[in-house]
Amino acid sequence: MSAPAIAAKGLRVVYRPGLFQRKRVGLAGLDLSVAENEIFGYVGANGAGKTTTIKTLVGLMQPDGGEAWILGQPAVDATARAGLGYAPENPYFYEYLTARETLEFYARLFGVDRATRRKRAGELLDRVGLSAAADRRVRQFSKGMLQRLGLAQAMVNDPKVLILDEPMTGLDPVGRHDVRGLILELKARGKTVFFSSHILSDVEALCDRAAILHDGRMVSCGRIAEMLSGKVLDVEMVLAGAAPELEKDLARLAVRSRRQGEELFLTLADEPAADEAVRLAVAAHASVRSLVRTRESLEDYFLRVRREAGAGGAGQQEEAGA
Amino acid sequence: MISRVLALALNTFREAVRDRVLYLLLVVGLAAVAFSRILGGLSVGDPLHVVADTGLTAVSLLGVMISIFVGTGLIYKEIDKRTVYTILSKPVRRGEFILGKYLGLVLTALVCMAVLSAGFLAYFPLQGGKVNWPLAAALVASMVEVGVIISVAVMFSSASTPILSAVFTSIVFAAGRLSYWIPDFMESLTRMKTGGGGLQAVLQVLYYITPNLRIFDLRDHAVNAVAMPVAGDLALRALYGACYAAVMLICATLVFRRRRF
Repeated sequence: MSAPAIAAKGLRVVYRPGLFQRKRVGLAGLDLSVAENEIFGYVGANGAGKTTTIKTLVGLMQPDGGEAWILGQPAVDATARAGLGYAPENPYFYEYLTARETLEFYARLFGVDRATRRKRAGELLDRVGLSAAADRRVRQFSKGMLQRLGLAQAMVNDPKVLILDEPMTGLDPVGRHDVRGLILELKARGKTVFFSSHILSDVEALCDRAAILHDGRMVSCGRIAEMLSGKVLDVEMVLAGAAPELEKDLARLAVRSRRQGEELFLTLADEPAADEAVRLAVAAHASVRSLVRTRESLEDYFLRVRREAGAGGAGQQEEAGA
Repeated sequence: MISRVLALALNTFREAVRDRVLYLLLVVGLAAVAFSRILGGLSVGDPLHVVADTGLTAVSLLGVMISIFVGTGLIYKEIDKRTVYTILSKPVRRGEFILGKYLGLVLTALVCMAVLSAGFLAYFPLQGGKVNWPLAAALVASMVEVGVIISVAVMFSSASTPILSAVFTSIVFAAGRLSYWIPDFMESLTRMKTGGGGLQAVLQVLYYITPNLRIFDLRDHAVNAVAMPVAGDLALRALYGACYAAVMLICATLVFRRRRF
């Protein structure tokens, strides 16, 4: 069996802000395993430890304890990064270089020859929609363009594993759509994509598996479909032509009801209540415009897991001073 | 490894040569060389000595200014602007990064010093001077000195802010130019039997840790016809400079390896 694309065991990072300040735990013994050709979402509130994990995986930070591996090689070893692509959140580049020069410079760090560098830079700029700005200095780029260039530089070595820190940040809806397409395309090409995001709908739509981080600890990890219970939370119903008598009867059944023009919006607690509401509406010759079951989303799950983790006392952020 | 170091060095060079301050320094240096004849006319003694001395000093000062003003921010700027994120997440070792940045700035300083030297060596014969081996050796020696100062600047830059690094590098530069008098001073202390064992120990440590930059100052030999050291001696001085720079770069790497980004 081949090694996981990304793995970590007991990863521990402690921040020491100053001599007389309290230490802060960035990661508190994190275990992680991402299989090859998986899209893995990494979710957590600000300060949960997402970027700390990523920086440890890509060699920007040495852990205080534990170990991490990329494609079976220790992450602290520079050679492990030969098959890795990393796009930081809000990437920064040398402002005096053009987009094309930037990509050629990064390709050179992987020992790519001149002809291949040229060809690959052109292809990647085209792929992220920056062909028209290829020969413009990076200092003239907008935030969204920098984000696109950040993704392009992460692919400059055609890596097997991509680690993307908040790849949708700063992108407009078109940009976000493009990045979602890019991530799916990378998976189709056999790549492993690990990305952190605050946009939970993206994680839900794209990822095979996801992990939720809270105060430097992983509080949940698994397949999204298994994480979400599938339980119906409530039923949303929209009626038209409801007479005042029917509205009064339905208000007794509903958790919430609201009238907007000729339409009546109802929130019903469960499916039996919805069945009864439909029966009453049909009997009163009202028109049922819409009937939608609301299931638990990743956002609902995330908030629930965070609440439970917080209540369980996982929020030990500080250690005794030095 | 070589291709990565080369890529980093060339990128550093490209960044530095797009800095307008560099051109300003070069213009000031060329102006100093051009006006040296006027200074020579105003001074007592041979005006050509003043032209030669000013030219050599301008080349040396240009290198020192580049070392201090650019070198002390070299590593810090990469961290501050977060460009280091996309470099150290590639298969680049931290030592390779330090070496690449160092070589890039050395190349920048050498190119600038070579341009100013060319200007000076073209101007000097026009004033009746003769370009000879001591003059060329003095120019090369000041370039080796700049290589040493840049390594000190890079070492401080890997650990501190540009302002502090500039202060520390300037102190090391001044100490390096003056450290030659420490053995004489210690001998005087011994002769006077004033005790001062503690002071002697401090002076001894200072003497060994600061670079002896005096050995790269060959202006007296080039201008005042003091006998030039033999080629073997000059090679040893260059070797000393290379070893000192290597030690500084190793220290910089050790400091930089501990840093988190």
